[in-house]
Amino acid sequence: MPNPLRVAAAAFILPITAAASAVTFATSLPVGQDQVIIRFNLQPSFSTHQLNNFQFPVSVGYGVTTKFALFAGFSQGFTSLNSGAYRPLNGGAGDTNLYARYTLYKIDKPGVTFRIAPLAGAFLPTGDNRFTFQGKLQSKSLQTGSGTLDPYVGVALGLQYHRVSANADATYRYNPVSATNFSLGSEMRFDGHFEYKFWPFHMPAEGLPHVANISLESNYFRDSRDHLSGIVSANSGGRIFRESATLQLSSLRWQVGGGVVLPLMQDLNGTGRTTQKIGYMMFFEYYLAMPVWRKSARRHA
Amino acid sequence: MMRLLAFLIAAASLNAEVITRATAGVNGITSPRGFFNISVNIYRVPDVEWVKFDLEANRLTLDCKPGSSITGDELRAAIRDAMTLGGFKPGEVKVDKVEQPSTHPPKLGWRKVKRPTAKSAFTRWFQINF
Repeated sequence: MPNPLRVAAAAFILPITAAASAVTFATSLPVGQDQVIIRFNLQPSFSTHQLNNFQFPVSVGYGVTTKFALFAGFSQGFTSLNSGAYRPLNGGAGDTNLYARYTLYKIDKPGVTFRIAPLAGAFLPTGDNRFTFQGKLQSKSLQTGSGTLDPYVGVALGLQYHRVSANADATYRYNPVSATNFSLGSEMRFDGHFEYKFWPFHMPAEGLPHVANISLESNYFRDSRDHLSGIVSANSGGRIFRESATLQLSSLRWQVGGGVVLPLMQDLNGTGRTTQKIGYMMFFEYYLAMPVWRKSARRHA
Repeated sequence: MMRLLAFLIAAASLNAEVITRATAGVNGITSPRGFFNISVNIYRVPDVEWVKFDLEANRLTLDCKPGSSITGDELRAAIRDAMTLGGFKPGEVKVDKVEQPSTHPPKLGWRKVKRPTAKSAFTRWFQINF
């Protein structure tokens, strides 16, 4: 029977952060004033040692003003381990991520836009961090939440042209130790995204065609060690670098896409950790306008 | 001025309707999503009946309904506000009088502007979005 503490990083595919123009992170998603963007994701991932993870995150962005936007990430799903007689399964709602983003600097020119936007918020403890199996408290990959209010800060950048675009972010989630002496290790991550619009091959001079693009995304995670029952777990935390490739189709009101996630580096602390093999993702995104209560538009700053 | 007068006389002699057309340059829009940000605010521009999105040309074209009395300055200000609300820096807006086209082909990017008419805020929201 594998040590539950050895069950590792497959669930590091944090559902909350999966969304956006980039699929694996939502921080650089453009949102206009009074506009709502809703993204539904399906993210199954499979690993060695029969650790399977299915997540169904929903991301919502709302533009309060042209520069200030609010985001929410609602996660739900389940993770299972199927190894002989040892078959823990846990699921339900995960922690909810709420944050605000302010566009500090932007350049808009014909066919090009560049933005820098710091963000800050928190993960609300809507998930569960008390899942036990055979009397033992389970590790991060089998818990759905941290049990604490986790501050979250970062900065996002975006540079977009008609054919190519690139986004990046750096974020930090501080996970304090809970009253039950439990803590998922704090998480630092860096994300990068490059996108090429390959269809239509020749963009029509007039009109608004459907656009297909291929997207490459890199995610680097650096996680501190977990606290389990007041003890710093030696078999937790570490560094992971993943690369994703997705195909996407977008129109005026929606975007749909899917792809694969390949872990290129999994430098995990401890011994006998289960490593992720491959992950998949699909998403559907829909844009909505919000009711407007303002009487007049604000001038562009 | 003389050119406009000549055009109006020619249009009248052909019995064609003359409409107001605004052409606006857009800044920072690189995908269909960018135009969505503006499209949901276009209904606030008075008298505009048709809108055309040109992604490659970074351009927005708006046709007013026949008989509109909106002035060029009013139209420019309303279009700039709609673009600003979408989160983009407005470009130059040109206003012309043109002969009303017989059709506004969707293939060329034309869309009829949805105007919410209901009193209920929810119904108005529904009319804009669906």
